[in-house]
Amino acid sequence: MSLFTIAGAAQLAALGLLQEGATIPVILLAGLLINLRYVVFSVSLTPHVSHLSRRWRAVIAYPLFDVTYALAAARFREEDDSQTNQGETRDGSSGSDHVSVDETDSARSDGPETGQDDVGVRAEKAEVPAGVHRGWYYLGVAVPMAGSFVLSTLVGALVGQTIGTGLHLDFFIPLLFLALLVPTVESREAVATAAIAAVVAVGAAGLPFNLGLLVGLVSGTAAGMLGERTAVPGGSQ
Amino acid sequence: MTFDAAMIWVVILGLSVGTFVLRASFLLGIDWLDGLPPAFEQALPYVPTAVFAALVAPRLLLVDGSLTITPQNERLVAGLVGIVVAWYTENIIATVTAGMATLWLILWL
Repeated sequence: MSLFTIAGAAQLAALGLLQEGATIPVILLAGLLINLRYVVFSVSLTPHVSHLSRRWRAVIAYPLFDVTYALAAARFREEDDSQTNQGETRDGSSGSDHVSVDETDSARSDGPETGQDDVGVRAEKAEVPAGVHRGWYYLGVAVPMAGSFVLSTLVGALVGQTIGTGLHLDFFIPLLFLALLVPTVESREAVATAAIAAVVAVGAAGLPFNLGLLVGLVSGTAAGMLGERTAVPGGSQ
Repeated sequence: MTFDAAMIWVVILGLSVGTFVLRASFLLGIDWLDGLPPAFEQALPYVPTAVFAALVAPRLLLVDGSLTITPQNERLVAGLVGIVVAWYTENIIATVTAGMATLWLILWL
């Protein structure tokens, strides 16, 4: 189950529901509700990897979960920020800053794609960003992560409950997210985003199916957008 | 394991396929769209911040499901140390190390 789905919370919920004798549609609906946040991750990564081939994007989608999303989003965002140091969106309009790495790479990524070159804005985003190939970077993150997830599920299944929780190693995960969070809080809007997302996620933590997280992140994002719209031009940052 | 094996496989298959569809929705769907809707474009810069904050906050502030903002909440204290370290170093390893060390120290004292 770990190998095919790679989604801890949904798997646990599905197993719990199976045990309670729930019907298949209920189990599937619950699991997919929990995983609804992946749609947001999917949207968020899309502009950063739209220059990659469809095959690469499918590879990226498969092990896309919280930690792989977090590391990839933080990295790609930082790279794109430093490349397009202007404009309101980080993938803005400063195409001149992009450096094509090599011809074969861009040729390959432009190859079998449809409907990208004829859409003005899209074509700009399809440029190959400088630096490491993002598909390989992502795999470098995802393979150890997903691999250790699958392996540790197996170890857990075999060894069971003989290992305690004495070392509190689970705290590693929130600390990792903290380390990624802090550098992104660099503007007034981002402060609003983080604050609202945190407050709502805590307030909604009682919701079933991990929906508190989804509600929190959507509220936070909305707060950031609202802050941007109401801001005095040039007043932020 | 008292469940019907076929039922388990149906659940695994359904969850796996459904989850992949959710994950691939935009990553692959972009080929059929004329780019992301403008509102999404505007929202994107804030998504990572919102995701991280929504993931972190409940893990620091909730103890057994209830809001606990006191010095007795070890994870909150360790998290605050982590925030300070992250702010000054912007270094993942330093942040995680400082946070874990603080947690262990508090629990050991």
